[in-house]
Formats: sequence, C-alpha cells, structure tokens
Amino acid sequence: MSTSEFVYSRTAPPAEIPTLNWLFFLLSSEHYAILSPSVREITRYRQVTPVPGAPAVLPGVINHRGQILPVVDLRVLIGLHEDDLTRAARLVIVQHNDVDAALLVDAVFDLVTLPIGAIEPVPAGLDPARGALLRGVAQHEDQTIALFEMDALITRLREYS
Amino acid sequence: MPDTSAILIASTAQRRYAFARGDVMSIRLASTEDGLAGLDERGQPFISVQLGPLLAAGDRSTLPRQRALVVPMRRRSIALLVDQVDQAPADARVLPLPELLRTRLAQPWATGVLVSEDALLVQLDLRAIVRSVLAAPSRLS
Repeated sequence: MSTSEFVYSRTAPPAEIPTLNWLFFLLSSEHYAILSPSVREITRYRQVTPVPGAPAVLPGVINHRGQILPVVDLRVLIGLHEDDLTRAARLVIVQHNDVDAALLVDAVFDLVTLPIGAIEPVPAGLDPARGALLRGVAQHEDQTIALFEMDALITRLREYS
Repeated sequence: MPDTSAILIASTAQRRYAFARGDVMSIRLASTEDGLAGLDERGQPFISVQLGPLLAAGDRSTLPRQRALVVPMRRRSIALLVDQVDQAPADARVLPLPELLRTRLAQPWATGVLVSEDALLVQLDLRAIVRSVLAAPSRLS
C-alpha cells in the first residue's frame, strides 16, 4: 500500500490488544473508514471517463497504472448529499476479493489503529440500509467514525441499479 | 500489438467515443438540422439520431453539418450524427469494462474502453445502440 498520502497513527495501542487498521476518510461532512488491508493506494482525484448507462453510484472508469477501474461514488451509495469535489478529493484504490475499484471520497484523513473492543454496534436509529453496510462505529478524537464492512459494500454495489 | 485500424473515434460536442469500423456501412456528411438526406439501399429514408444527447444529457452539437455513421439494420438504416470521426491512435488497445460496472449498465451500449497514451475512451456497440433506438422511438426526440 502506498503511504505517500497519509500518516500512520501515533496512537497505536500495546501489541497484546487485538487491533485493526482503518483508513479514515470524509464523505460529505461525515466520517467513515474501511479496513486498511483492502486499500492498495490513494491518489488525487482525476477526471473520470463517464460510461453511458452507468448508475450514478458507478459514474465511470479510470486508467490506474494500466488497469481499468470502476469509480464508486460512496456518497451516492449511502444516500449522502453530493457536494462539489474540492482539491481534497481522493480516489482510494481498493482490492477486495475479486473486485478492484476506485472509491471516490471527499478527503482522506489518516490510517488509524483501533482496538477491536473499541468498535461499537451500529446505532439502532441509523437508516437500516446504511447500517447494513457497516461493521460498527468507533469514537476517535471526538468524532464518531462509521466503519464500512467491505463485503457488504461490494454486495450492495452488485445489487445496485 | 493489435491492429487498431478497425477502431474509429467519434467526437460529439463534449465527448469522444470509440467504435468498431465494422459497425458502420458508411460515413457521410449530413445536415445537423435535417439529418442524412437520401434513401438507404431498401429505398427507405434514413432515421437520423444525434449520438451525443443519446448518451449524455446536454451533449448537443452546435455545428451546422456533421458526420453520419450509417448503421444498416434489417428493415431500416440509422444515421448516428457526430461532429467528427478520426482514426484510433496506433498505440491504442481495447480492454473490457470492469465486471462490476458492465453488469450494472442500463443498456448494453458500452463494450469496453480504448486506452492510449493520452486517452481513455468508452468503446460503443453502435448496433446495440441502434437496436435500442428502434425499440424505443421516443429516443429519437
């Protein structure tokens, strides 16, 4: 995984506590994360080639080092308002099982190590469709971070129309 | 390196697309407003359709004359109007669309992408587009 675009956490807990590494990022004004082993690279946003007939959640493709990747607009997937992209926008290149994709996010913050015990259940009041995409939530530096479950995310993309 | 002479590039007002030369019978000049004049091989008038707005809202030509990509079908011939037609770059290669995207398309119009040193273009199946046009004449408007 390329580390050129983010900084490793300075708050890693002691090694004996089971932990997971998460990449924190921004969607609209909300904070989300995915497990770092799925992340191959992070790049600046660049022009996406639109594909006629593609759903809004998959607005097009990019050529990333010779590989054609579908771009996934996570804001559309979870029903967030799509603000105009800024210079902070990034494409998070992920590989999960047999799927390679570029996740469009509004900004990338940090790679953070969280104890597994710090992951709390998805709040009961959350929209069930959004909650089904999450492994749980965690608190980090006074922010609530929603933690994506990659399997659920890919399954939702395959079902999206 | 694969032969790219069989691939052409159609430019609309806002975008560029690749397509297989074999999809079209001929490329002719046409009036943007009136479409392709004359009759096809069966003596039927051509059905002219602007390709740009068919694929992307607002992608409408401002040129008075365009190129007509004539796609013959069993009963009628369709003239897809575009601004310009060029040869694909010699270094271009065609790759399939990612499965995640290909299976989610509303229409099977995009078959792959043409990659060259300075471009990434969607490759269209013009015959599939024409079949859709004939099946849903409302697309002609």
